[in-house]
Amino acid sequence: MSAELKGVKKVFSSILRGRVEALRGIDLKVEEGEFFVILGPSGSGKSTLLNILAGLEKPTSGEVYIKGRMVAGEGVFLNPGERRVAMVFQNYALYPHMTVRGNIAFPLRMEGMNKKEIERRVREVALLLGIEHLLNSKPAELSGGEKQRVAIARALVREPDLLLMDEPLSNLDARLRIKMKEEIRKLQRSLGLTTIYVTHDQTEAMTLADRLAVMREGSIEQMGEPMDIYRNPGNTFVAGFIGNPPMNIVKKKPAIEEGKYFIDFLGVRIEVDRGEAVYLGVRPEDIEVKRGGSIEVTMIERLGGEALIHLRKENDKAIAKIYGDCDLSEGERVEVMFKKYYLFDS
Amino acid sequence: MALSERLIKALIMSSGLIFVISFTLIPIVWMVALSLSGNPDLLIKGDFRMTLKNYRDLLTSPELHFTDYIRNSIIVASASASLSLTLCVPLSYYLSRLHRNPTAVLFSVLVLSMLPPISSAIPLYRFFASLGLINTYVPLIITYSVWSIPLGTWLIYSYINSLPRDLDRSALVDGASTIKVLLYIILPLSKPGMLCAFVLMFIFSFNEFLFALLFTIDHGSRTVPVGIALFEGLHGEVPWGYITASSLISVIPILITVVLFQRHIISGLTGGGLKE
Repeated sequence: MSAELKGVKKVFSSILRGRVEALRGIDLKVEEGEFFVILGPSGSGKSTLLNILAGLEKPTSGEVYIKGRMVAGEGVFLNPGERRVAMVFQNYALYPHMTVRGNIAFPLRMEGMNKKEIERRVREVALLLGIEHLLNSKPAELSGGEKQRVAIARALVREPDLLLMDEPLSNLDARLRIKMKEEIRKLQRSLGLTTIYVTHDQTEAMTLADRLAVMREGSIEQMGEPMDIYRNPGNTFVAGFIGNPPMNIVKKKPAIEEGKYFIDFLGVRIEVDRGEAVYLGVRPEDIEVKRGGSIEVTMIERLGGEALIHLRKENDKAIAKIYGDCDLSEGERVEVMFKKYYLFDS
Repeated sequence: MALSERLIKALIMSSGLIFVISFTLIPIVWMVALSLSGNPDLLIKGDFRMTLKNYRDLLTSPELHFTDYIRNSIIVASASASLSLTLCVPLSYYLSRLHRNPTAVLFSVLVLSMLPPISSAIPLYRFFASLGLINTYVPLIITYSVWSIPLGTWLIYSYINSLPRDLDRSALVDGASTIKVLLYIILPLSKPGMLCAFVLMFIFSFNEFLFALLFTIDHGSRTVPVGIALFEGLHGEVPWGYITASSLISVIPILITVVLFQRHIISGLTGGGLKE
């Protein structure tokens, strides 16, 4: 076990906002060498969780273990420097007055390592990240991608037990983000470094994670492998958060017919097992669209290899995703079939 | 119509500017004229006799003690600004990064700084006198350092506060202690704010009059403002030539400091508001 949280709670108290429960009893285990992603909207507590792991925040209660060693808990609190963790920040947090060499060497200097060894390690990690030509530059002279590489180099140079990444790609443009995502994944695999990565971007989470946890309001809503969560979301929040475009979710009150309960969505009848209102979820890619019928195509977003078709029937609205060319046109009438749908209580 | 409107505007603006500039510069021109004149009544009698005697006397004759005053002022101002800075930096860092409610502390510091200096003059005098420190640099340095703390703290606090917190957090994760974060990260990055505070505190100490008058007796520790005020003429007349010349000379150290650190002063004063 590389990192473990047991019943971790964090409460912030402030004069203006009063008592805010940022984490409500988190239990989490991250295995050795795993790429674990924490996914959630802003305010869900994911950054607080990372700060608690790094030692930048003290948990109000609960225990934190890194490589089997308790780093926070009853009467125990190790400072960030004593935890052998490294962190990559959203805004890179490079020291602007130091050169790239100085930035990467900083954690080693703090360890009191000798200069020769520092230089050797800095060169090694710079070579790994392809930034050896930048060693004498100042952060202000670097592009976003280069800064990101320097930040990663600084994190790796200490050979940490645990690498924490706090939305490290959110300041990069879309193309660079894809490239860096790939590089981070490759690097993590090749080094076998246990990584906890926080993001609000579900695409990032899906593509990077070995396992992921979806957080909301200080609690973990669901945890598992990305495709498991995608296929079997536990509630409407997770269902709506994973997948792009998000799942179509509607609340429906079943109608009774011959002793059986049915709900109707876009003209599709679905049998349910009880009479209370339920949430029906259909992923856009699970909607099959055919010409003819009573559903109106209100808009078509052609994205190249795929198209999003906005559908409306009376009060029911949904988005369907089709791959390949779309020969439908706006205003046309269609009918739909659901390849798969989900029913949720909440 | 439009032209005359513009003309009127320009006229008002220019006359306003001329008034402000004259208001500021005439005393200085007057001082320069007096300091270079052999006769202080040059306006009444109309006989301006150009001479450098006042400057020469001030810088060369030991009985005027002007060079002593300048030396004392520079020592006292540098020492008190340095001491104050040494106290303000950790205080500002603590308030910015570790204190839960820095605003309350900063406002109490500000309120304290609004007390008139005279209110503490007598107790301070008695205190320093009881220690036998009157007419030494020590009471001036201590008093000025303490009086400069509010100004210095406000400036440096706002500068440090504008530095991204993630830099500290990153340094902490990299293994630095709180003190090392201050030494390796915060201090180098707040240099402009610190220099600005240093210069302003230096100017304050250099120009201060009341405490300098109270705590000094003779040229051994007397500073420039008091020295100038206490210049005596030969037969009891006011020696305007010396007074104006010494005032002009005493501006030089401040001018040099300001020119040297001009860039830092501006970025230090605006740092809190403009930094990203």
